[in-house]
Amino acid sequence: MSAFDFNNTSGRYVEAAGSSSINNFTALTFWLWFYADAFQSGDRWWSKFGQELINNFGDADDFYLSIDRATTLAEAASNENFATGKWWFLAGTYDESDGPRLFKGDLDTAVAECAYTTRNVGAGATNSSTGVLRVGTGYNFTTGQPDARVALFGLRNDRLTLTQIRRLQYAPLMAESATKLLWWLGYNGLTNVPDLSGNLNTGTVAGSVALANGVPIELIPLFTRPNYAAVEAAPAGGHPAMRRLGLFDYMRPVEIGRQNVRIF
Amino acid sequence: MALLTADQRRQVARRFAEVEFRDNNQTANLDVDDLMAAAQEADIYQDSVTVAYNTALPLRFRNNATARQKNLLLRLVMEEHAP
Repeated sequence: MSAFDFNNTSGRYVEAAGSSSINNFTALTFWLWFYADAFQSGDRWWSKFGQELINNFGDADDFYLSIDRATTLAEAASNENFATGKWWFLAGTYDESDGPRLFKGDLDTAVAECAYTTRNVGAGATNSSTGVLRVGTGYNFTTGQPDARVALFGLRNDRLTLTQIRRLQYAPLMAESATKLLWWLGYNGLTNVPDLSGNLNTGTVAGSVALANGVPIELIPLFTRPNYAAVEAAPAGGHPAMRRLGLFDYMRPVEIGRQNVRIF
Repeated sequence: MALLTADQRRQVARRFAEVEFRDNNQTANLDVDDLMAAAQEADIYQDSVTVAYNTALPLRFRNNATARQKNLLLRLVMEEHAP
């Protein structure tokens, strides 16, 4: 599975215009797979007016999810080491009663909640967030960007449980009804990234398109032929992570559309 | 004298950055280093103001009011000063 390489290139980010399907979330879940070559202060991993994930100080343990609320800001700062040179799964949730939370996993480790240096639920109604959504910008929102690759980015307007987030971690790209934006950023190198959620929140690439294959992520993208050989060559019972989650049978390749399939 | 720990200054800088970024319509003209340096100076200034405020208070109030009561008094005065 390929990824979009922000590669510390000034002015390279992916943007969706504000739309009714992604504005003014009062509950949300986001998730992404990323591979960082370095962390830099002020990288905004995703940002939408008053709701964002930022690395303020350029540390591998400093992801900061903040949601603007009428009385007190909701905020969660991670205290986990997302080491460079490795694929990580990072997710976050928020609603007004539970506040913000962050979750961390990788290819072989099921996602779990992060430890925090700060976590405040915040107070008051969630403020509106009608601005554009950008993935991979720098501190001033235009120049600068993560020195990292991002394989996919998803956003939903509900708060998932840890169990539900674990399903997302190794699942094929799929969009349930609450998923409002789902980008496979390494899709095909176009300047427009299709929104697989069906909500037409197409991503526009600013700056040059750059794909990086990097270290492969063993996810099976929607609409593409699975790598049957790789799956079948995995140890008996499937990839360890899939086996641990009981997903191997679910992900066993099935030939569809080649023969012996009738559509009524 | 600076009273905040490095983590507390970071928290001040983070919160300031969030509020400023939103209120400034998703633009930022100060970088994180600017905010950390300013948070340190604001910390030192706040400590000096607190010391000066305590010294300025009449002796009986200074010696008998709790820190919370002194803060309350100052906050009420500041509210009256506000336009």
